[in-house]
Formats: sequence, C-alpha cells, structure tokens
Amino acid sequence: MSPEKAVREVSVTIDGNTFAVPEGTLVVEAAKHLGTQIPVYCYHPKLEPAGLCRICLVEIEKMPKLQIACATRVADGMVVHTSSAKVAEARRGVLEFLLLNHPLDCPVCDKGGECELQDFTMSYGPGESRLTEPKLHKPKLVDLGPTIVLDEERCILCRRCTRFDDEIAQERTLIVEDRGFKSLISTRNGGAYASYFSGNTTEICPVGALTSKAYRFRSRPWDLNHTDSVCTQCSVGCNYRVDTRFGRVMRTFTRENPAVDDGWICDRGRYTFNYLYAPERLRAPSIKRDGGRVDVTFAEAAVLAGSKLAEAAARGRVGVIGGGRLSDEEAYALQRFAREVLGTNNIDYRTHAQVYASPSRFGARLTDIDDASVILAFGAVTPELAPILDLRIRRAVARGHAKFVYMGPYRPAFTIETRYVKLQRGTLPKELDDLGDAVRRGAGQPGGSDVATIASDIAAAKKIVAIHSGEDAPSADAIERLVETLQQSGRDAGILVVGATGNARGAEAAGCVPNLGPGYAPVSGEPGMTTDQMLAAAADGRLDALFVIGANPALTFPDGALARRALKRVPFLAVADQVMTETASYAHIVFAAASFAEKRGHTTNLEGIRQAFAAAVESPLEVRTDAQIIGALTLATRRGSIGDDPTTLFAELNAAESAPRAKTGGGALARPVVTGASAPIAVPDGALTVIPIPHLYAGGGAAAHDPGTKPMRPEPYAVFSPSDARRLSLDEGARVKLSGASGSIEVSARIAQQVPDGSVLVLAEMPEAPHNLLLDASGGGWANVEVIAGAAEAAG
Amino acid sequence: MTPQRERRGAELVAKYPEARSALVPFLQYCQAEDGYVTDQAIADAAELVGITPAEVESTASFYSLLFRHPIGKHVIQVCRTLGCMLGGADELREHIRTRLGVENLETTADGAITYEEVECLAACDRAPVLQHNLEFVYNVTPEKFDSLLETWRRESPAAALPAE
Ligand code: SF4
Ligand code: SF4
Ligand code: FES
Ligand code: FES
Repeated sequence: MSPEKAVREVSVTIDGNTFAVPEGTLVVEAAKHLGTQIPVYCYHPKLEPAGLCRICLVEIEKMPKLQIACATRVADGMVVHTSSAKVAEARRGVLEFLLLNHPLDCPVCDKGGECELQDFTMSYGPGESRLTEPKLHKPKLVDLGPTIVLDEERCILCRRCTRFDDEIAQERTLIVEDRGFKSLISTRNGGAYASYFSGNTTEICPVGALTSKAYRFRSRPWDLNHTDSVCTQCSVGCNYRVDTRFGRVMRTFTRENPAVDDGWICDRGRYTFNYLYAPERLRAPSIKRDGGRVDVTFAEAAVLAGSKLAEAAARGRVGVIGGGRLSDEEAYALQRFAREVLGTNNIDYRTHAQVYASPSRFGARLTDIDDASVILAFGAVTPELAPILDLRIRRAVARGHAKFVYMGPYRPAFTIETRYVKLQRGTLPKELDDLGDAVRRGAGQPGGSDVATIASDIAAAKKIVAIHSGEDAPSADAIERLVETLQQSGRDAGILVVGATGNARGAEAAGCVPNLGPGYAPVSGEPGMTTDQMLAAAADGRLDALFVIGANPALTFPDGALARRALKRVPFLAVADQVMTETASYAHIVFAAASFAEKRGHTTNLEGIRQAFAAAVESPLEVRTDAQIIGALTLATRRGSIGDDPTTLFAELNAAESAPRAKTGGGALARPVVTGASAPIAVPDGALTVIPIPHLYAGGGAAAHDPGTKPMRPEPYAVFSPSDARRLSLDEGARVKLSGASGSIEVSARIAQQVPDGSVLVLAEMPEAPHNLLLDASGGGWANVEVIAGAAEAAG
Repeated sequence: MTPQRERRGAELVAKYPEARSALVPFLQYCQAEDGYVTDQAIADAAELVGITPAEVESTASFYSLLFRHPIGKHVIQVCRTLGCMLGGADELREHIRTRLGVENLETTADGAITYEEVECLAACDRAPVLQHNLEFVYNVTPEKFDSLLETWRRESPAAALPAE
C-alpha cells in the first residue's frame, strides 16, 4: 500500500552499473539497489526530502554541478557517479563544515559507535581540523522534556527530529529557533517536548544530540546483545529489539515492520522495561501468613496452590481469570488448565470493560488505514490506547485522503482534524443503524444531522475502516451490520478492535473465554461463568477458589467494588503477576511471573497476526514464566499434565485451531458470551455521570512502578465542564472527592471545554484513585462532588 | 484576538493563495502595534494561519527584524558575518558592547537602546556595517559609532521600526 504507484520504469547507470528503477525513485534509493550507500544526514526514508546537509552530493553526467542524491529523482538514461574524486572532495568539505564547531566528545557520547558523523568522518572526512580559532559554544545539557536530553553542540541541524515531529507525529512542538550558526533545536518558550513518540527522535538523530534519559551513559552500542522481540504494552504489537548487556535490558530499539509499526514505537513501549529492576518487581512467590506476607520457594507455592485449586475444583467451585497479558502459548495452556485440570469452563480473559477483541466478521488490517477514505472510531481513544495505530490515522488524514470521525461520550484530544459525534450511553447501535439506512438510501442526505454528514462522507468513500473499543456487545453487532451494509454498497470496509490488553485477541483466539475453546470453537457442555459472574459468585460465597493470572481486576474491572469484595471474600486466591498489584495484595499465594523479556513465545496483535518474540534475559531465580506456573500447578493438582515448552504448546494450539469446528453461520467467528450491556443509568440529582478516560501512562502493575515511564505518569485527576465547575465552585487544581454508589476517590480537578455538562471525566486505572470504585459492572456510574481543598491550598 | 487584529489578519490572509504566507506580515503588524512580538501575538498568529504556536515561534526567531522582547527606541544591529568580521567588526562590536554596557539582544538600563548582532546585512562591500532603526551605516569605526551615538541620543527618532 505504498503511496507511490510505480507506473513506468526508467534506466539509470550508477557507478557503471545500468539497471531499471521505477520512475521517480530518488538517486539515494536507487543506489541502494546496488548495495551502494550514499552518505546522508538530513535524508530519512520515512521523511520528505529536505536537502539541508549536502553530504549526499553525487556527480551526474550532463549536470554542471554536483547534485544532492536525496532530493534528485532518476531520469531515464541518467548516469551517476557516487565515488568520483569530485564527490570525495565535496564530502570532505561538507564534513569539515559539520565538524567545524562540533565538540568531538565521542568518548563520552552515547551515540559513539552508531553515530553517522563518526562513521562518515572515518570513511570520507578530513583527518584533521584546520580550525585554529575557538569553537562556537552552545548549551550542552538541555532538558528537552521528560524523556530527552539535548546537546546543542553535537547537533548538526539536519532537522530530522523537527521533521519527524511535523510530518510523522504531526504535533509540531519541536522547532528550530533562530537561524544560521545560531540555530538551536528547541520548543516554544522552553516548554517540554512531551510527545508520546519522543524516543524515536533519539534513534533518527544521526548524531548524539538527542539522547534518551533512560539510556544515557548505560552502555556502548558495540557491547549490546540484540534480541528480536515484540512490544506487549498494547495491542498494536510493534516490533522491536531488546538490547541487553550483562544480562540486563539496557534499551529497546525499533525493528521496522512496515505492516505493523512502520518503523516507530511509542514511549510507553520503549521505556516500560525498567520495572524489571525496580524494587517493586516480584522476585519470589509469597504466602499470606500470620497477618503478613512471607517469601517461599516456587515449589512450595505451587504445591500449596495446586492442592487448594484441586479441592475447589472437586467441588466445582473454582474460576480462572486472565490470559490477556500472557503469550498465545500460555493463554492456550491456561484454558487447558481450566478445562482439563480444573474441569471448568469458568475462564475469562476479560477484566476490562472490553467484551470482545476479535471482529467476528470483516476484520481489517492496520495497513487498511493507509488508503482509507473514512476512518470511523467508536469509543477507541487511539492516541492513548494504541499510539502507533494512531500515527497511521494521523498520516492518512494529513495526506488529505481520509476523514476521521469519532463517536463517543466526550471529545478526546486528537492531533488531527476530527468530526466528533457525541454519544449518550447505549445509543451507538441506533446511530449506526440509522447510518446504515442512510447509506442504503444513497447520497443526497437531507438535513445537517450527524448521521447525514457522515453518510455524505461515506457516499464519496471507497474504503472505510471502523475502529472499536470492543466494549458493549450490541454496539459490536451494530458495527458489523454497518460494515456489511457498506460492503453491500460496493465499498471496501473492515473492522479493527483495539485490545484492552496487549494480547487480548490472542487470549480470545486461544480460548480463554467461557464458551469458546481454541480457534473460537464453541465448547462442549455448558459455557462457564464470565468474569462478572465469577466475581459476583465469589463475592456471594459461591466460589471456593480463584486463580488470577496476569490480570488486575481490582483496578480494571468496571465494578471495582465488586471485584474487591470478591477477591477479599473468596476462600482461596492465587495470583500470578510481575509486580505486587492491587489484586495480588488480596492473594493467599502470589507467584512471581516472568516478563516478556524473560520468555519466548507469540503474541497476537489487534488485527490477528501472530508475532514471535524471543527471550532476551534470564529471570530471577524464583521467577517463572506463566507457562511454568500453569505446568507446576497442574502437576500439584495431580489431575493431569500440561507441558511448559512454548514450542510444543504452540504446535498444540495450531493443531487445535485448525481442527474442524462447528459452523457458526456466514463464516463468522463465534463471539465470547457477554453478560450485560451498557444502558442509560439513573443519575441522582446533583451528581455527575462518570466517564472513565484512558491515559497512555496509566495502569497498575508494571506501568505503576516503571522508573522509565514514571516522569510521564499523570497524577489522578478528573475533568469538569466549565459550567459544572462554576456550579460546584471549584478551580483548576482543586482537590475533590468523588463519591459514587459504592465508593469514593480523591483526585485533583481540571476544567475543560470538551467535557459535556453533567459529566465528569475520570482518569482510569490509577491505583491511587481507582476510577472503578465509581462504576457498576456495565461500566456506568455517577459521582457526587465535594471540594476538599481549593486550588491554592492543594498546591501548598 | 482583538476584533481589530482579527480584521487586519483576515485582510492579510486574503492577499495570499495560502494562509500561512500572511504569517510574517501579521507579526510585523502586531509588532508595530505592541512594540515587539508578544506571546499573545504568537498565539494570535497561530490561530490566524492555522499552525502551532511553536511553529510561529520558530519563524519569528528566524527574522532579525521581529523582536520577542520589548525593545528600545533605538535598535542597533551590527553585522557579525565574515565580510564585516574581516573589516574589523569584532573590535567594533566589542567597543559597542562596552560603550552601552549590554550584551547581544539586551537593552540599555534606561530602556533607550537595544543592541543586536545579526547575520550578513548584504552590504559587505562597505564593511563593517550596522543598521540603526533599519537604516544602513557603512564603514563603521569605534569613533564613528561614538559620534553617531551622541546624535541619536540627542535627536529622538519618531518610531523605532516602520510598520509592515
Ligand atoms: S538534534 Fe539530531 S535530529 Fe535534530 S537537528 Fe540536531 S542532529 Fe538532527
Ligand atoms: S503502540 Fe503499543 S505495541 Fe506499539 S510500542 Fe506503543 S505500546 Fe508498544
Ligand atoms: S542527505 Fe541530502 S542534503 Fe542532506
Ligand atoms: S558580512 Fe557584514 S554585511 Fe555582509
């Protein structure tokens, strides 16, 4: 789906080799066909040519002067010389200028070893400086924002960073200030460069000007070992490399997969590995004993937990919650554990408001966004939940061929032009059916209603991508009906569901739901309980044991009060996780689980592609992979055996998925069972409707304890509309208490125009102030507001 | 944005095929009104032509005739590029700085004179060169500067900078 539609081929001769390339190819790209590297600084394949640095000068016959290879397109019969004496002289000259004021602090520079200034100077540069005057000095330790330190002296002003911020992120906060040799890379008035994508600039900076705070002075590039991995922090599944030294993760680095990440990763993905070495990381299993918690060996924990789970299983009073953060192999093993070992279908990976992660029909690919004409998003706040997917939307809209429509209860801050449609709870299905009708009736919609406007956008559209948060089953059905209508009207249309956890789709596909086994095959026998039902049963004393693995329902399940009641009441609770989560703190036995970097396997991204990741480092001694925990528990129950070898598990999963399965009609995948749907809630007089809002850096677990992302982590807050704020006489920054039907939290107040009157937006998944204490199981809720301290008081 | 500024902005935008072409004229207009480019003007310009305030800042900082801080009635801009440097601009600038007691981009304590070092003023043949309120002065020596300074201090010029 490349934007350039190559039509004609032209013939070009580079360094004596004649070959054909598509018309319009840049000389620098054409040379790559020969394996010839033309040095570049300002040029980057993902950015528009800028022609700023002149290092790429080449000789082209019939042209009087040297030309820049990065902005010159090949013409038929063009003859190019990339290493003539003239070219060598020009490169030497350009390098001499670049080095004129360069501090040459390679010995202490992070980039040393992977620096293009160093490399090209070695290959093409002058050996010595002719400068006898003192060098120009510039600020050396500029704090550019939460993630980056800038050394202005090392900067060669190639502007890759500002062009990335402009063309790719489209945020336009990073700028060049002043001009000529005084130019500085900067932000307006010294504000923070706080983009979610900032880390990418440290990679594309050809020199050591932009360095990542998390990696500064940590290692030399040549000392690093590289392991191919996949980010599991969200459901996009960006490919990256884990760089390690002395058995420790030092940094992560992009590993371009054009179909998934297009060569970028977000800062949440890039920096969330430091928790591995944080004191909060669980390094051994522990058991609740004498009112406290004591560390035990893995074997002891497994034997004890296995026998407790077996006892509860014998009485048919056991449930398993989790799967969305495990590997595909482990999710498969987990559902085997529930079904074969514990003899129950009570298994569910869904611990968020999300009820499904795979479209049952009409699945789209991420790359479909690239040439879509209309992108419809429903409740999926992509900048916060799937940042790299959001970059694709930004690009499609910026190129001018796509319109972006967002429907949801409030207007999130999107970088791009957005047509926003406000939704009341539970009204999405009706809106979508109306839209479907309008599309069927054809163009020329009457009236200026939202539906009519979107219908007219769609009338002109060839391809439509719908992006859903996977919340609310009736909405999911309505989206599929709409997409069906669109397809029937001769348009290309498909659905992407943004997962609430990194491997939500993988867990669903592997069978971690009450009614479906691997490959969405309906289970034999009665479906088990959903997460809601398990929690309700546990809270009522109808379950004897729960096993929660890689999940934190206390913080993420819509009804936080119910989740907490259940976890407290259940006679036996075993939890496996990497850090002490809110859920784990209730557990009788906590297993210390391995991280993504300490195991291998596969993970399935939101569009359903399965990607392999390898183990980069060893885990601490008493830490085990989730597969090993499941395997050991199985042995301890004496009710069978499940291996923990990822290769075997993967083969079993594939075999189970390809087994013939019951027809579900129309080739559609069966959906996980759902209990409840979002309906309008009754809000008491004077109270505000609670709308949870996601944030890239929110979350319990690893995110809460990662030193790498801590500087970006928000304080818990709630956002009020200006008129509600006036009515409640609260100022920006005031400390407020929000009290709902079953709990209350304290947060600081913000005020914003985008909040609908009568609603309050509450930052979701903050352990210090769990939003879910205000919600019911369907995700609806309200809050009364009480001002505890005014803004001035709260600040002091 | 004040209604008046909005009106002027709309007029300027209408002059060009692309809105952002009106950016510099609009900033000049704001500067003529306020004496320098205020933060408010940056925000207004961003809104007017549809780019981020950071981008406006970047553009404003590029032009030596747009000031981001209050300036004196007299603006003295001295060339520091090669031609003038060879013609003795280094000594000249040293002299002016001492004489005025200011550094680059600073204004004298009485608020009267702003001193700035700028890139080539395109009059290299008569180096060293300075501009006083946009008027060229050629072949400047320290002595010539001192006598000019006396004149400027005596006669108060009408406006520091012409509008647009
Ligand atoms: S900071 Fe790096 S990427 Fe940005 S302009 Fe300077 S050298 Fe280029
Ligand atoms: S977008 Fe998601 S998968 Fe990609 S780097 Fe960020 S958190 Fe990781
Ligand atoms: S790479 Fe060609 S001018 Fe910079
Ligand atoms: S070098 Fe001073 S005017 Fe050109």
